[in-house]
Amino acid sequence: MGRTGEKIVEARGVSHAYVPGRPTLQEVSLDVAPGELVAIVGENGSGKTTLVRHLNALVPLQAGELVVAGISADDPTHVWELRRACGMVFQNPENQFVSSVVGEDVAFGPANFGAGEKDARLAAARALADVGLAGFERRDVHTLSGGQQQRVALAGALASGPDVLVLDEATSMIDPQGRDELVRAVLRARSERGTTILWVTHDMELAARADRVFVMRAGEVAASGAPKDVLVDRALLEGAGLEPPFAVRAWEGLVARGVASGPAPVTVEGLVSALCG
Amino acid sequence: MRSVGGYVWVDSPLHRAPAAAKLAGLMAAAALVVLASTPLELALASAGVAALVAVSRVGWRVAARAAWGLRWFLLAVLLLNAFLLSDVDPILSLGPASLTVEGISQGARVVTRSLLVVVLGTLLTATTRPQELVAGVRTLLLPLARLGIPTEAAALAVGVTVQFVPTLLRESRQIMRAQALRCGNAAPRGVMRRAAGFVRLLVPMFVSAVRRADELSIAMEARGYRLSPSRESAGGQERKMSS
Repeated sequence: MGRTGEKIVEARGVSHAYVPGRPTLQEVSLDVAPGELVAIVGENGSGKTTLVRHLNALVPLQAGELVVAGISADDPTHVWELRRACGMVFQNPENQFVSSVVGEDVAFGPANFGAGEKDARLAAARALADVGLAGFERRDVHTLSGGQQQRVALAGALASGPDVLVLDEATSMIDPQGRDELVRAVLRARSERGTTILWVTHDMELAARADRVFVMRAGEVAASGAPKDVLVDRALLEGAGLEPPFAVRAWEGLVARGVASGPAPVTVEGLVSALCG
Repeated sequence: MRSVGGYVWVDSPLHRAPAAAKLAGLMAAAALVVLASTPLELALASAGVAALVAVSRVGWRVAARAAWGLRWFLLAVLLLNAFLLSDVDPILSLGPASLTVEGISQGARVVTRSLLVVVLGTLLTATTRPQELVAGVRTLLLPLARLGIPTEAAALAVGVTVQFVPTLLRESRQIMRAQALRCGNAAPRGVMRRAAGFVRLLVPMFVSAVRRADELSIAMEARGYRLSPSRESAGGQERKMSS
């Protein structure tokens, strides 16, 4: 499968309606470059999940064009190639496990995609090591913390060697420590495997760390661009049911009191740098 | 003694026995119990089950827990048999129902058999971890797989069901606590009130189980699962795993 230009995900005019006449997605177009970390934000019901489920063929393409890793989503004969090219991690780790044994669960994807038992086990062991859970193969998933469970789910997606990894609100049910561990594991997968990341999230601190942010509103892409351009636009974000990240809100307060000026930083690290020089 | 999802964390010869052997043993023992009909045979079967409970070291209370939960059902079975099985030489007549020795005897037989099978099942889950149980099912299904019968889906279904048990148990406790906080009680006094309490518990549990099943099926599809064609022939892709 050859890739089209420098884009690993190309969507053109993708529309979808679960109920005729009530579109969930309307003419959505977006491009993602290989290795890019993209955040997709928006309020509940804005179409984020429907959009990313197209990438994995979980939602059939009704209108428009979508190509993932050179594979067209409108060709039903390529469903399993698409699913192999695009791994997904969902919100609730407990609802993703097919086995209570960590190693068996992580090997499930590779086995489905045709790997022999030994290859599937090796792929699982490597994926578990990549998410910081080396040696957890024989553990019971129910004895793990929420963060560890979500990293097992991440390993389950990575074990099949996807080009694109979609995380659909994957941090919303775990504690801050688990969230940080998951973020580190995802960033490591990106740097070591070159995996492209699409992260659907309500967490604006996480969105601030992305290369680009897409803001969804009522099934459309309301805005896209670098976090420093998108996440400082309070009117845009509030219109999409969101609020700016902490650093932007703090900066706005400082500007209002006349102790800061200039463009707002979007991360805490940027805020510290701006204040301390 | 720690207990998780039915499994009891102690060491015993039954805990160490292979799951497939325990599953096969359960089926054989259940068949023998069902075939036992004379008081002597039932007494011998009861002694055998009692010996297994002692060997398992899970404790009498744990072994009898599931059977105790069925006490009202078993009482109903006993009474129905005792009053409705026969009308020959009645000890007591209540309209169309006649209490007979034959009915009492048959009811006692059915209840004893049921109790023994339930205790045997409890012993299996108390001495076998869920993952071992699934592996045991796989092992027992192997001969069928060799005959070309698709057994993977059955083993997967057992595995998924088993792995969801602790989650659903935890969720049922949360729902009961949430109802108790709002002055509801899943186990009040009185049969009718208790039945209504369980309906209040069952409805959210059912909704939750369906939602979880839906999310799991989506997650399985996302990881390339399909019932047909078989998992082993998932498309002839040449890409290297985890590359």
